[in-house]
Amino acid sequence: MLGKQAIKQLRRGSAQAKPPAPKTLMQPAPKAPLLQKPRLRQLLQLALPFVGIFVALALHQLLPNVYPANYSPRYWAPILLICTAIYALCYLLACALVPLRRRLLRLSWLLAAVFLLLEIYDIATLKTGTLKLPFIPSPDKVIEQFVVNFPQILQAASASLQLLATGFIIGLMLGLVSGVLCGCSRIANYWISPLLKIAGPVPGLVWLPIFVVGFSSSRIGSIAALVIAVWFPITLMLSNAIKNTDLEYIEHAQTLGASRLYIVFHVMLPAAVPALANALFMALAGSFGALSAAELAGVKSGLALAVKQMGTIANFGVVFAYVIAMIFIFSTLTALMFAVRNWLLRWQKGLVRW
Amino acid sequence: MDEGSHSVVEETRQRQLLARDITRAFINEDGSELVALKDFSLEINKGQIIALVGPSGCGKSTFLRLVAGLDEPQAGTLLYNGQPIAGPSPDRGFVFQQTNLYPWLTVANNVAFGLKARGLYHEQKHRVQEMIDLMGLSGFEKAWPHQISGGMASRVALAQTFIQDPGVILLDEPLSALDAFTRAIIQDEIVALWQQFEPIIILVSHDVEEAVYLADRVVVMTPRPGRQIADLAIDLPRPRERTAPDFIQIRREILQLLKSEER
Repeated sequence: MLGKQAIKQLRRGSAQAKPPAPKTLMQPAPKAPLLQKPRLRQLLQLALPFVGIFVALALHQLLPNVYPANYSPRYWAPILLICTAIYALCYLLACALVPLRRRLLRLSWLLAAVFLLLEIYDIATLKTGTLKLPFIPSPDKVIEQFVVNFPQILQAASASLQLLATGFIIGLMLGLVSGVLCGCSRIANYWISPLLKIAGPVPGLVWLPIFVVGFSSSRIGSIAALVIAVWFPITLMLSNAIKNTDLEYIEHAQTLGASRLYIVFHVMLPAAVPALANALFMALAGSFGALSAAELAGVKSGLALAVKQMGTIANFGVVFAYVIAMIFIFSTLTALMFAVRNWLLRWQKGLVRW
Repeated sequence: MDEGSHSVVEETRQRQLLARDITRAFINEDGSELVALKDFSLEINKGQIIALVGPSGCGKSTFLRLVAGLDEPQAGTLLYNGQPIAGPSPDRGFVFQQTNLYPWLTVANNVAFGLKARGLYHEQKHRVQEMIDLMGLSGFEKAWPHQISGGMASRVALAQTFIQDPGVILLDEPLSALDAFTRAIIQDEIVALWQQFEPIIILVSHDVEEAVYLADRVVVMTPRPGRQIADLAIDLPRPRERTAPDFIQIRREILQLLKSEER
């Protein structure tokens, strides 16, 4: 009988006899260096947004302001200068940091185009009056309204975010619990799945009046509509993924001595995480819709309501300002969700990054 | 059990694993019956390596699933240490055909899966690193399964099962996806592991050379219904030489048995 030492010897022996020792069987992904000097071509491409900003600034300063009469813009030029300063900072950092440079190189054409498009918009409104007030205010006007109404925008945004967070977190928790229950237990599935099929596909806007009356509170009713919008996709996709867990994963765990409960949480649930990550996106999109509906018909506060009210009194400068705030919040939340997904699925090969 | 059960229990004192007149049939989708195993008997002594060879459908994998407790026979006696096999147990380890590591666990956590599932991880933590070192996986503890080669994945799968120190280890074509060169290395590693842990190993293989290289006994099986046609003892000393005349002679014998059955 060979002792442990002898086995090690034997292992070493076999590794020596055959040149590609075990270590070479794996090719770790080559890691790019963090710091690297940029090439001239990269420096030029990185400078493209400057070109866009300067062209915009030059046209804005040189062309006369004709529409509306006697309007003197105060905000657009400073905003363009602030953008220049911010991008200059990014530019300097990108000269050193490779990951940031890669991102900015990809964005450079897009950013340049955005500033040129904004300047075309400036020309079409302030400089020529092609697009008429009150429906299409100039960029200067929109930013003025954003600055003037900033306290109200902040208040509306925080009201929206509170409602969204409350509904999303409760819906997520309920969805995780009912998804796991439905996936693992036939009895739970029997009782929950009819609810899922009836309540899930109906949009929040439809439920809202019923909930508001039913809970006799517009706030709780609005949260309930949000909860359903989040709970439905999470439960549906999680329970399906758990039901379809690869049988070999489960049998393997059984032969390793895992209990049924251990298998649920350490095999079935992780195996369902890719589906869960997709469900989170559906839930987020659904919750945005339900949030807008709840603000208009339920709690009567928040960004969506402000947009509607300002639209009704034809104050489109403020409408645009609120829309900018909504775009900022929703796209930030979506980016955050992608970060969560990338972390959840860090074990997956060839994951598409955001 | 019948009146002969007492003697059967006596017998298993020596024969750690005993299968007698096992029958297992499946119903196909069209309603026809497929007899995977018919009156199949096998006795395995402590610490033996048994190889089951034969064409597809001869019931090799079915037998492994029965021993693992993942399936039940319709007739016959299946005893392990004198006890009927009821359900899976960590004392009967199973290395699956697709080395199915859990892709969401790192190499170290895959190796530790069984210990964690049984609540033994905290007292036996050191064994995980020992096993990783023994299998030449040092430095890859934190790698994800998709980042390692097929050969390393096989090592992780073996480590995952051997760390439990089971009495029986079932290998269902564990190396079939590997290139011949890596396969030969890992066959030696299986022998080394077997010599250290001394389990019964039941190996299912399509590769006659692999069976002769590893096994104390090669059981040759035929399909429809799955049954045993030969049980050959391999008395060659280890490490075995694949090109030795004796080795080749046994290989030829087994291949001829399989060929004659095909006709």
